[in-house]
Amino acid sequence: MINVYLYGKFREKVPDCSVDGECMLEMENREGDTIASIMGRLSITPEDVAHVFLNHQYSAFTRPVRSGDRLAIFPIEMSVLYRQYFPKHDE
Amino acid sequence: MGKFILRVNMSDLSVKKEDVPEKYRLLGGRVLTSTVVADEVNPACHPLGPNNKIVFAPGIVTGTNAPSSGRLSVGAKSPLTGTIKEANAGGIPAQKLARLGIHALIVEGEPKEKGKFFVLKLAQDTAILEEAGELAGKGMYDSNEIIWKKYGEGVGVIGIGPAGEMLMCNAGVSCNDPENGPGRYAGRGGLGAVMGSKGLKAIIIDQKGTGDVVIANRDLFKQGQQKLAKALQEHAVTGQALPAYGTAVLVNILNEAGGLPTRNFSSGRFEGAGKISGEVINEWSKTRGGKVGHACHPGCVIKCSNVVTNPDGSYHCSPVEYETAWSLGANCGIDNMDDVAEMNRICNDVGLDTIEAGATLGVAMEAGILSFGDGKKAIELLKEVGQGTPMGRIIGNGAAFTGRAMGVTRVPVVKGQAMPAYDPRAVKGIGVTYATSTMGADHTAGYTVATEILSVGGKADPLDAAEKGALAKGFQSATIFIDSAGYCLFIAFAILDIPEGFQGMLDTVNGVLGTEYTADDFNRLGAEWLAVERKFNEAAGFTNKDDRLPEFMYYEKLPPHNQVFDVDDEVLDSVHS
Repeated sequence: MINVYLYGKFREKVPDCSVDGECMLEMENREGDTIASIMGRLSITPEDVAHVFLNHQYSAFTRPVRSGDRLAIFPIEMSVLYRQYFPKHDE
Repeated sequence: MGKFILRVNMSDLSVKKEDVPEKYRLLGGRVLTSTVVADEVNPACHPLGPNNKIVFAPGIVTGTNAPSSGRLSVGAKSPLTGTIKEANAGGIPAQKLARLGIHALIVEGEPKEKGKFFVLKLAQDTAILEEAGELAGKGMYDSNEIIWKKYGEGVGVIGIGPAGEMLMCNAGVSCNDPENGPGRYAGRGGLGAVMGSKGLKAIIIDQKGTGDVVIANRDLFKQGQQKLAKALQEHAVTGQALPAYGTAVLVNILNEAGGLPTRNFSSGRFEGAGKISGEVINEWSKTRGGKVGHACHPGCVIKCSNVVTNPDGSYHCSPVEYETAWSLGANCGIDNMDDVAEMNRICNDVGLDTIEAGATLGVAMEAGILSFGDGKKAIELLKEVGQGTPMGRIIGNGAAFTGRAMGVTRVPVVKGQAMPAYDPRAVKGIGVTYATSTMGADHTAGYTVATEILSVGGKADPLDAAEKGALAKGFQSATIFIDSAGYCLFIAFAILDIPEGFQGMLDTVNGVLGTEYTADDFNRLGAEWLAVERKFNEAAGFTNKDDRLPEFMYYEKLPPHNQVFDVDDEVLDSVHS
């Protein structure tokens, strides 16, 4: 399973989610899954997304995901990050 | 109205109007305060003695209708770091100073009678020093209220709280917001103590009857103003995120990045982050009657400020920013937003920089003076600062002083100034900025990139150390230009990403000054201006060896990434070589 943490308007995808807590969805891990495919299953398009962190690493959508991973997704209206600070992992 | 320099001598209580020297004519904001300090202050002087000077300067375009340009720069030799210091703030005073024609206000000397305080009242064609009377000893909330009653609603106030009056090294300089709240601080580096050492409690600015700021080329200025405003409105950061959530949106983001310093920089993750986040502030604006999208000065189109309320809906504090929610929250292990807002309010009242205050409390917690997570005790300690108790005076002098007083070795400072809300072991790029800034650890000093950030896309880093240093210097140069123009640093998001926005910013500067600066000049001037600050620091005794992070960050791994700060010294040294 992959633990997907959702923020901002994406919290609405988690039932009974509190704004001051963590909104987490457990999602099945399928062979060949990437961040993009997980987003697709959540009906989240790349244009809607500001930042994605996989296991606390600032990540590209193409990055593979594996069982036990922590994936955090922030919507575009939470786009406040000096991206220059972060290495972007894509492998 | 023509511009002039106003020189106030607190030794003989004289106020003189001087012509603007040609050398200073094209300067403003940070470069102007730093150049005056470099020209007139002996780098070896005691920062709280008669030979230091405190300089106030609006930015180059401040006072015009250029968007988000109401910044006030305050400069002096810092009692916290011993370096040159510029801190800037929003609020309403800067635009009023500019409209009075004040290019820079220089305050020098020291009052003959220690402990006596004055206010400087500025209006069109008048500048009067008078005794502070009942204002002396008052917190900034009471001070601002008294000043608006006595001098008129709407006047600008630049002031210090009891921490500044007691010359504490973490005292900041308050600027009032449009509702007369004192929460817009030129907070860093103890400039409030320098103002206190001059016996100056407040500067009161009445702009009645003034005209517009002189603009050399109005057509060019207007074009630039429109281009920049459009870019700010279109960009996701300045047009959406900052107005909706304020800067505290970063709490959850940095927590996911594993870079949110927690419990005195012992972890990059805080389990209570969600409770002190921008999302909570946004939610409270709907459920408690607070506000997001609050402008700290007229003409700000970004509106990152907010108003946080008590549970009963009454005003509590404005603003609660990311750095503050982190410093008084995660860094102290405190996950109660009402406690964080109360501490923020006390800092605003007593006159403290919230970053330094939270870092200091974290050090005191590590020393066992109070427990991590004990918000109520932390509130009491901050109140002691305003009361001037022995413990309050230790806390009020900042993290480095408190660490020495309490035998703590894990003290997160560079050049004596506390680090802001990005742990440099997880976010190494900002570690380069912390180490090499002319100001001590300062997140606003430049968007420095780190070694690994150049490997975006997972490729090997192709650049050598000297090139990395040059790139880092480039970011610091850009920052000093924006600070000097009088723009809020948040315009950087839009001007770095949108070329028309960048050109618009340049056009406004050229329009005001009648210059023809290009992008090359933007970088060249920034580098030259940084060199002025660097030279002052060298004369004050600082060398490359001071451009380092605290030792524990080189050997103590930070979870969850379990990284140390491993940027080579040669990279740090190359930034200013």
